[in-house]
Amino acid sequence: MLRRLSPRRPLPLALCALLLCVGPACGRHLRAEASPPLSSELPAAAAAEAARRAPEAGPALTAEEQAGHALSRVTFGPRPQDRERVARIGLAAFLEEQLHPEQLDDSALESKLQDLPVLRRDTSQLAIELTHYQQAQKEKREAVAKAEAKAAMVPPAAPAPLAAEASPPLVMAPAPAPPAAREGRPRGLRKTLGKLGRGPGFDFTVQLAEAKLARAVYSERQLFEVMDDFWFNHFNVFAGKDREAALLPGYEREVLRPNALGSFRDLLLATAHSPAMLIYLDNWRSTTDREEPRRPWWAWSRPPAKAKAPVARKRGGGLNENYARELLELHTLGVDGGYTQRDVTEVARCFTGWTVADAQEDPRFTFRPRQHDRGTKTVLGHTIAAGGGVEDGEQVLEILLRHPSTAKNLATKLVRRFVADEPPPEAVAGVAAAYLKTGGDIPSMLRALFASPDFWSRKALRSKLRSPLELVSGAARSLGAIVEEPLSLAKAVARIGEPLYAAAPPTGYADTAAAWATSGALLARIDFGLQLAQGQLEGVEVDLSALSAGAHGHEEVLDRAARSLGLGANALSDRTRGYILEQLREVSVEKKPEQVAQRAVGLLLGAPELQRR
Amino acid sequence: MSGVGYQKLQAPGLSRRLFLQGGGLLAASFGLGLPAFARAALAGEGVQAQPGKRQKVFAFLFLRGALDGLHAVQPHGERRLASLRPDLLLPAPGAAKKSDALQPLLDLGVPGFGLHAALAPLLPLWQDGALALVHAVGSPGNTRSHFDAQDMLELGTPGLKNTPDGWLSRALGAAPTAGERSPLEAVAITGKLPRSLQGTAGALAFASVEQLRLRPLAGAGGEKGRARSRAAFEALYARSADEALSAQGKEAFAALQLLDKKIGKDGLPTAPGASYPQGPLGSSLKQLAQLIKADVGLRVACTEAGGWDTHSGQPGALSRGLGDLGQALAAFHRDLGDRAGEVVLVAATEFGRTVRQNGAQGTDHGHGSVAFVLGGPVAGGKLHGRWPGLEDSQLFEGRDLAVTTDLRQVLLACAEAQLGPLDAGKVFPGFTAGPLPGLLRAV
Repeated sequence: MLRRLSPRRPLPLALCALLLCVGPACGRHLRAEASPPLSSELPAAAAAEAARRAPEAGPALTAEEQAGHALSRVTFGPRPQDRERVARIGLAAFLEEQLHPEQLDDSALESKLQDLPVLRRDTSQLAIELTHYQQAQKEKREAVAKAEAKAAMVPPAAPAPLAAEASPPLVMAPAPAPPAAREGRPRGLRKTLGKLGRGPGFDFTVQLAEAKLARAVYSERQLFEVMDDFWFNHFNVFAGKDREAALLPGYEREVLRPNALGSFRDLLLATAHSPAMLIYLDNWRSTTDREEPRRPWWAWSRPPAKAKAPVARKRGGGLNENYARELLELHTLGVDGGYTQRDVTEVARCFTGWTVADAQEDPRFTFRPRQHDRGTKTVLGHTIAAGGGVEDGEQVLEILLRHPSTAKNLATKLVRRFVADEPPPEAVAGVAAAYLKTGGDIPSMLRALFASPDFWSRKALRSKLRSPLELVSGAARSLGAIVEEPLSLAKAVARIGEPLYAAAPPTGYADTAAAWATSGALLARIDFGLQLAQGQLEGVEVDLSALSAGAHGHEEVLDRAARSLGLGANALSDRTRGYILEQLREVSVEKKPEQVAQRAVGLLLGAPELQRR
Repeated sequence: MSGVGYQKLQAPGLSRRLFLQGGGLLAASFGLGLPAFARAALAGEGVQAQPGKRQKVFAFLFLRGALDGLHAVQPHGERRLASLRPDLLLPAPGAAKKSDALQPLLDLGVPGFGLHAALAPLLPLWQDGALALVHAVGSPGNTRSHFDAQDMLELGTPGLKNTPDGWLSRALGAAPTAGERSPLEAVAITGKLPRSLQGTAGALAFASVEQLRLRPLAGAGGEKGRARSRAAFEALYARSADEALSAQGKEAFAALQLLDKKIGKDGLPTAPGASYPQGPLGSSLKQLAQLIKADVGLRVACTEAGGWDTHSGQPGALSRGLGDLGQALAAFHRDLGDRAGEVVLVAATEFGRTVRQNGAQGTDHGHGSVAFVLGGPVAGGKLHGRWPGLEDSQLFEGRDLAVTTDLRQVLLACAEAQLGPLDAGKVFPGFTAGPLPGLLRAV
C-alpha cells in the first residue's frame, strides 16, 4: 500500500553518522583558502600578453572586444544592459560580481518562476505522484491486455515501445497515456502538452526545462546559471530513465545549485549521495558479491574475524559497476586518468550498500551495511581496510578528489567550455593548479581561467560555436524578448539537437563544435532565427519597432539590428553586409518598416557570425 | 535443453568452427580468391554517386550502449549459462516461458543457439537468407568505456585515439568514383555527425526531417518563398570567411535543395506492409529508406539506436529494445522492396556485456557481442564467426565473451560489396585480417 505523503521518518543512524563525517566539522579536509579577487588591470594585461605570445594572430583585443568576449563566455549571450554595466564598473569587477551570485538581486526572475511548482515540491511528493500514476497505467494496460487476450484468444500484447527512447525529443515521458490529476494548474503551452497525456513525469521535466530557459534568459546571475548547466552536464542524469523525472527537480535544487559556484568536493559528495545519481547509474542495486555471515547488530562495527573468499552469491544480489566506472571515467579522473578494470571493480565494491530508502516513495540516501562488501579493497594503490562501512565509499571519493588526474580532467572541461574546443595546455595547467591549491574551490578555478592569457587571445575570440541552449537563449536576451512561454524556446533547443534533460548517456552533451555542427542542426538554427524575428514562436514576443522607427533607408535598419545583436563595427564583412542589404531592399522601408527589421534580424541571426561566441 | 547438437559441434574435429555450415566455406574461399577488380566487375559496381542513378548503399546502425549479444542470440547450449545468469536465461526453443520478458528462444536452426523472441520479425528474413548473424564479434583492446569503445570502433584504429578521420569517411575516400558526387552521398540520421563519417569525404547529418525545413523570409511565402530563403542563406554562407561554417552551409543547402526536389515536403509513401515502430529508430530507418528509394545518390548511411546499457532490469529492457529493433529492421527491409538487394545494413554495438549477471538482473560492461548483417549479397541464414566458449579459461579477462571476429572484418566485407574494391590499408590502417570469409554470397 502507498503511504500518502508520509511524515518524514527519522534519519537512520547511518545517515546521521554520514552527515557528521562529511560536514564542515570534518577536520581532515579543511579547505585551503580561495584565490584573491581579480584585479582591474587583469583583462587588458592578459590580452596584451596573449598578443605578445602570438603576434601572428593579430593585435591584442581592444577594450570593446574584451568586454564582448568575456560577456559571451560568462553569460548566455550579452544584453545591452550587460555591456553598459561592464562599461560602468569595469570588466574585472563584473566578473567578480558574477562569482558572487548571492549578492546579485534576482527578484525579477523569481516572479517568473512562480508558476513552476515543481521547483519547490518535495522529492518524495513527486516520487509518490509518479508512482501512483505509473501503477494506475500499469493496471489499465494489464486490464486491456487481458480483455484483448480473452476476446481474440491471442497471446498478450507485444511489448510496449521503449518508454524512454520512444518519446518525442523535447523531454522524455515515462509512459504515453491519459493525464492524471496533478497539483497546480499548468497554463499555456504546457497545458496543451498535458492534454497529450504524457503524465506527471513529462510535466515535471517540462517545468524544469521551462525553468532552465527562464533562468538563462532572465537571471542576473548568469555565470551561476552557466555553471549550473555545466555541472548538470558533467554529472548528467537522464530524465527518461526509470523514475528520474521525479528526482531531477530535487537533484538540481539540492545537489547541483547549492554547489555550482562552491567547492567541487561538496559537489562530488552530494552527487554521490543523491538518489538521482544512485538510481541513474544503478548503484542503489549494487550489493556485495560475497556471502556475509549474518551477524547481530552489535557486531556490525567489528571486522569479521577472517575475510572469507568470495563465494557464489545468492540470487538477486551482486555488484553493479555502472556508477563506479562513470565516477572514475567522467566525474573525476577522466578516461585516461590512470585506472584499470580492477580499480573499477574495487570502487564498485566500496560503494555497495549506498542505496535509497525506497525508490518508489521515499527516495532518500541510505546506507545498508548488510549489502556492503566488508572485505579489503585496493583502489588506485590505496588499501581500504576490511570491516569498513559507508566510509569505504567516502574514502574512495577523497582519493579521487586528491588525484591530479581529477584536477586535469575538470580543468580541461572548464577550459573547453570557456576558451576553446582544443583546450590550450597552459590554461589547463593553470586551472588544474588552482584546483589542487584550493582543494577544488570552483570560483578559484574560474579566476585562474580568467587570468590565463589564452582566455583573452584573439584566437579564442568568436571561436566557440554556440550550443543550442546558448543560441536560443542568447538570441532572446540580445533582442530583449518577452518570454511568456519558455517552453517555446525549449522546443527550439530540442529541434536544434540538444533536448534539455534528455541526454541519455552519462557523458551528457559534447562541448565541441564537431558535435553539433551538422547540416540539419545548422538549418534548424537558421530557421529558429527567422521564427524568432518574425514573431512566430508562440508566447515569445520581440519588439523590433525601434530598429526601423525613423530609419533613413535600409542601411540604418541593418546597422541598428547588427548593434542590437552585439555585432561590433567590423563584425560583418562588406560582402555579407552588401548581400543582406540586397535582401532587405526587396521590401520598402517606408511602406513595411517592420518587415525590413524582421528580415534584417532573421538574416543576421542565421548568419555565420551569430553562430559563434 | 539438451544441447546435443551443440555439443556435437564442439567435437575436436570441427575445432569450434561451428557456424560455417554447408557451402559457406566454399563460397567464401571462392569469393576471396578473385582479384579485387574481378570481384568489382562481378558485383557490377556503378561507382558514381550521382543523383537520379540507382546506387548500392552501405548502412551502419550503431547500437550505442553495449548490446548484450548473449541475450539477443543466446547460446543456450552452453551449460554454464544457467549458473552464470540465472535471472536472464531464456528458455530453449519450444520450452515454456518463464515470464513475459523471458519468452522461449526462437529456433535459428543452429544447434545450441536461439534468437530472442522479441526479434521474431527477423526470423522470416533469416529463413529467406537475407539476414546473417555474426557472434563473438567486437573490437580488440580491453576498454570498457562506452565512449572510448565507440570512438575506436568508428575511427577503425583500436588503441589510437587521435586518428583524425573515421573509417567510413576513409572508405568513401578510397572507393572508386566517377563524375560529380551527390551532396547526399554520405548521410547520418543522427543528432551529431558520427565519428565514423568525420573526415575529408564530407557527410550530411540531421537528427530528423524536422530539421530540414527553412521558412520564407518576412514578406515572402509559399514554396517560392522557401526556395528564395534557402538561396539567400546559401549565398550568405558561401561568402563567409568562417571556413568551417561556410563548408557546412554549402553541404546543407545543396542537400536541402536536392531533398526538396526529390522527396518534397510530404515525403515518399511507405511500402504496404512495412510497419515501422514508433520512436526514433523506426523513424530514422523510415527516412533512410526514403532517401534510398528517392535515388538521391546516397552511398553510405549511418544511424543509431540507444537503450542497450542494461545494468538493471535487462529482461524487460531488452524485450522492448529488441522488439523495436526487430520490427524496425523488418519494416526497413520490406519498405525497400526490390531495392533491398542493393542495400547492406550492419547493426553492431561497441562491446558486449558480462557473462555473469550483476546484482540488479542486469549485466555490466563486457567484450564480445553479436552483429546483424541484412540485405544485399549477404550469406544469410547463417551464424558466422567462431564460438570461443564460456568456460572460465575461455572468457576474456576471466569475465566476458571473447572476441574471435574483429568487427572490421565484417565492415570491410560489406563496405567492399557496396562501394567497390577498397584499399584495406587505407580504410583500416594496420589491419591485415581482411574481409570476413563467407559473409557474402559468391556472386
